[in-house]
Amino acid sequence: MKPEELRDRCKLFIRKIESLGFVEVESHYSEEHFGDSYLIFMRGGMQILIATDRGDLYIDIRSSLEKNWLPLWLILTELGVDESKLVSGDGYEVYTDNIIFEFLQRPSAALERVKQKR
Amino acid sequence: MAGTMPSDRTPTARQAKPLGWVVACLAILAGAMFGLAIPQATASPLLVKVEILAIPADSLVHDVRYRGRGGFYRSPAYTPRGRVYRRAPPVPYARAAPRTKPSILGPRARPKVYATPAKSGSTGAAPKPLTQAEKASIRTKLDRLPKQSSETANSASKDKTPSTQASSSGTRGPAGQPRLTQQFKHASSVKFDPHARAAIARAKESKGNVVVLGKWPMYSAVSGMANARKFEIPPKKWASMSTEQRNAALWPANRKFLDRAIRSGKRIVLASDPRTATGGYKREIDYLKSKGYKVSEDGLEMISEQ
Repeated sequence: MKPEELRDRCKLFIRKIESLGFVEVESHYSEEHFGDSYLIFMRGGMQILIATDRGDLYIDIRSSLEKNWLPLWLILTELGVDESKLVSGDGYEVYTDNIIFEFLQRPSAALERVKQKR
Repeated sequence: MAGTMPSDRTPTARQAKPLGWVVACLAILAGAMFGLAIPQATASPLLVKVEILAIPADSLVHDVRYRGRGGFYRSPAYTPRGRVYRRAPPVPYARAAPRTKPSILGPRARPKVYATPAKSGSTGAAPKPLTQAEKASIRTKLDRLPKQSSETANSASKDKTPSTQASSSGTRGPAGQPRLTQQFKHASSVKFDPHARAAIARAKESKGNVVVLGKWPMYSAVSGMANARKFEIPPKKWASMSTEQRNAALWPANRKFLDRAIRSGKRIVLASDPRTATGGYKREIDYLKSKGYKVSEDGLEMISEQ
């Protein structure tokens, strides 16, 4: 999946995070690795990675506090999203849930909570 | 009377000659000052001398460093028919412009914005230390920023990495937002988060006898750095396959790769955190668990339980 296709697939999510001030800073496509691609969005001390791994979409997030990538679904479960929703499809439907955008507005406290729980 | 006529005309002609020269010189001088071109055919050595005297008045002309046939310094505009004159030493009245640093530098020479505090002025002088009053005003401005920005500023001051030290030194972007590069040195460090860095070190321990699993692009970057093997299908073969063929062939090929790694007793290093595994990576871990492997305590590799 080329970056344009990935952008098109996640356009609702991307539109929402861009409205929150995230800016795309990098995109990459690799034909050698099963045609996978990734996009990185950044705002201040926070990055969002939208990527495909062997065709499977995943969205990770990290801050300057926790430099390891954390999957968005993990944060969603911490925020109280029903886990049964997460198994639907590749989880993209859940990523457009408003709860994630509320989280993205005030992320530091929630990330710290997730980190401590892990 | 007839004898006196030549003696009368001769002094007049003699007097007119210098006057003509002066008029011609003034005309040339005026022409040179107002930017009129002087044809090469009419430029006698004397006129060139006069023209050169006018050159220093023109601040745009610096390259009067070419020696003409007559030994005069000429501007490149007077080089006839593209002939290259021998370079002469700089003359005192029209020195070459001093050399400055090139404005376009290579990537190595380019200063790192995130680590270098902004210089005051274009002279390259060291920035003046801030006074107490200036520091206090910056503090009050920072306090007035929105909560999100102050949170990141606080977190940056806690973190002692060089990338975040720059943010605490007051180099902020427009509207008080920290510059993008202050928090993360490189946007492309996506591949090398702390887990991936630890995985590289682990993979390098067993030279060559390692396979790397993980999410893309981490596992690809780690295997490249540690010179380890990773799961891949030849790009040409992959490109020739349809979507259905790809979906059908991917997992069997992946399983075959894992079986081969198990048989040959290779060390299996995990480039991504196994607790956050999804998709194909999770399937790989589950398969290895079914074959008697478990995740190590630090989450960096799969260890055989047998």
